[in-house]
Amino acid sequence: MKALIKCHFNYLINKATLYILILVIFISVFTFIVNCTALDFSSDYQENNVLYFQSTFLTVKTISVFLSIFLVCNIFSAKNDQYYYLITFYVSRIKYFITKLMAVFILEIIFVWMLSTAYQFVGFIFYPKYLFMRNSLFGYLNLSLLMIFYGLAALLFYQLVNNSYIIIVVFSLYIFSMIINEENNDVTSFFNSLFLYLDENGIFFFHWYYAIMLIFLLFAINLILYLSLDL
Amino acid sequence: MKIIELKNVTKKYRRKTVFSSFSYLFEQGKTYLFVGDNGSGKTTLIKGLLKLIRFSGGSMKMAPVKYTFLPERIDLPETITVENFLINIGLIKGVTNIKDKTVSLLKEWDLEGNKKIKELSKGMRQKILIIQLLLDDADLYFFDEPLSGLDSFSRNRFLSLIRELKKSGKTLIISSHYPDHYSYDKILHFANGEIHEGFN
Repeated sequence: MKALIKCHFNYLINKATLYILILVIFISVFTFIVNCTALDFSSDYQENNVLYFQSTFLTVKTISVFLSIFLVCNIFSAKNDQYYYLITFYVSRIKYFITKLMAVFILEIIFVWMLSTAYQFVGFIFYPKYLFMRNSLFGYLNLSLLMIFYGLAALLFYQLVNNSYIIIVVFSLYIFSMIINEENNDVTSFFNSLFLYLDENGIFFFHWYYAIMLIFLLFAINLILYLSLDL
Repeated sequence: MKIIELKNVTKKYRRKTVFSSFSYLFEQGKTYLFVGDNGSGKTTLIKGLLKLIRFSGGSMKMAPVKYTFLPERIDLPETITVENFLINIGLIKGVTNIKDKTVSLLKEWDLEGNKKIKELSKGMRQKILIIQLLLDDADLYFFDEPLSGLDSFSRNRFLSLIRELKKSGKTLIISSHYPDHYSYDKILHFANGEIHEGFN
């Protein structure tokens, strides 16, 4: 299994994904620095720490979701999915599919860990009264769930229409979820029950248990679809 | 002994029928050549036999044999070396002594193992696909346009490999535009959604 995951990584880490990863990390660190240095040092330090998290989390959340959608669609694109031909006798399609998703999610979790570390590091360097908040850590953990969810949602749409432009549609759904959540009503609740929403404090509209349940559901639908389609 | 049995298999893509109600018996130790124009269904049938695609109708039975496939062209990961890629594929296939085997095959096929795949030409990439096929021993071999992109040295080397495999009793299924290059037992002609058998 280790060799199989390594093979997935060889395809995942190509020129395009490397450029996007570097760009996303650069934008995130830049966001952390700008927001941290913009804090009013004379204000209450606890308020400032919350403000630092909230003001950076929106940007980080948006680019992370975009990254996840891109990574999943990229690795499942036809040209990056044909190496199964070489190992078709040796590896079942179920195992191939699961390990492929595992490779993407491992990369995403490493990415979120790097973002979280950069967030703490920039806060520690640029704000003298920086406080380590457990909530921020939970916010980043929830972010990894959000990335996995939108990655799987993108895969579902991608498998259904087999067109890479679907990235735009799925990302638009994410943007729409942010817009719709500016008001709290029944429509918002309904939409949030289908598409996960993480607020500015890094908390899901519904509980994170619900997020995990939706992720498993999406995973199962994707797997069934993957097994039924031609390679 | 029969190795694959097809009964009335059909493949349709929306409105287009690639082939319909095709029944055939592939026997062990024989070489089958698929010939026909581009888009006539040769690759589709091979993919169906490999269970990479589903037939729209009919049934297929395959004996429990080890099989392997040389596709016409697939994208290879650009950032790693030829040797690392092949060793990894070998590990997935469960090949023992993979390092030595890879080095020996690379030498045999005149390919530098420490080169990154992105530095290689189309023909050299085709050689990688041939080497991965040879990493493990199989009973049934599928080849889809195997001569595509190969230079004359590699072409001759490949054709001699085919002769060796045939001699050792392997079952070979080859799709090609060049029937004259091969010594085969049966030939299947693909045209206008139909498949007809011919003999050598």
